[in-house]
Amino acid sequence: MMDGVSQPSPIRVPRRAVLIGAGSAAALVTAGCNPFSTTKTTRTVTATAPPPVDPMTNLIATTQLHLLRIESAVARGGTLAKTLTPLRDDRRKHLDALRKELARTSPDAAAATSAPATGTVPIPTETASVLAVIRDDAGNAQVQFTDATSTVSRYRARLLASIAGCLATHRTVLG
Amino acid sequence: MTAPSPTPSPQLSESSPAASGSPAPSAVATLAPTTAPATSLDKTAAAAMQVALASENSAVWAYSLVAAFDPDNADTASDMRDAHMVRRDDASERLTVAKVKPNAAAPAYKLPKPVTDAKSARALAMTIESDNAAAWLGVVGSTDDSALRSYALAGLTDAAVRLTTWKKIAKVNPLTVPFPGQQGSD
Repeated sequence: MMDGVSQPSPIRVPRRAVLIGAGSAAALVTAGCNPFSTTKTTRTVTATAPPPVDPMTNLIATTQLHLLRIESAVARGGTLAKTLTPLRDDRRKHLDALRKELARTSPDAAAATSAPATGTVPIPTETASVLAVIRDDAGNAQVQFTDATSTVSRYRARLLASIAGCLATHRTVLG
Repeated sequence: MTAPSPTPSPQLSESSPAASGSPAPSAVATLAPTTAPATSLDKTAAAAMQVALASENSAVWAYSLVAAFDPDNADTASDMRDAHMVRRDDASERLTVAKVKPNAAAPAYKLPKPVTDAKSARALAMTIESDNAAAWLGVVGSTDDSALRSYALAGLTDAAVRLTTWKKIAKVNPLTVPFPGQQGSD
């Protein structure tokens, strides 16, 4: 027989609330957050990447340096002058074209690199060594221009690729 | 052959069929492909690749003539023809992979000048390589895909070096051009 005392009715939690609570807990665990943790939270801040460097200024600097070296060699006259004069003329045209291209897009940067290349660059005394140094210069420059070709605009890519091709021919001439 | 924009017009042009037969492909491979082919090409890049392919086809055809009229340099001409064959086959495959049908080679090509001796044969070889450099430079400027640019730059560089080799042989000075592939540079 019933004792007449009524049973308390169980607290009814809506199913939707249970699901939302379970989902939130799962999301926190998945994200690596423990809402009951007492350890301090570490906040990771990603540093802003530096602005991309325009390869043109480096390519101009390289061309200027190599041009000075070729000019020093040409100044010696003789065989060196005969072999290197056409190559010097090519490199001068490269420098002009590179400066013109930089001025088209970045007049300020172009102004900073427009000073004529002056000074002397030490070169070896032996003719064969001079040619080897200039051949190495052409090889290094070819790598730089080749690498830069993949990251620039289409218009610039044509210019840099053409110069890279020319530098390969310089290496052929210098054997 | 008429070159679509943006590449300059090559000087070798297709002649009417039945003028002569196209040389048989060689199994010799001197240049390995440097990059994996792209699975798609936009219209500009595909058009430029077709021009480069046409340039390779005309080079393969014309080098047989160079070798015949310049027997002293027949081996050089043969090596260069093989190199063009490898690049032709590779360019064709790249177009196919990108679901672009590669244009077929013409049976023969119109020469810019008649070839009658070694001197004119060497001049033809120089024309072939100038055209070829221009065609590959066109590909470089047709795409933002760095892998395709690198591939095209390799084609341009090879053509420029071969041009210098022929200038040396023909004793033409200067041996180099400042901007290979650009109009008016040679």
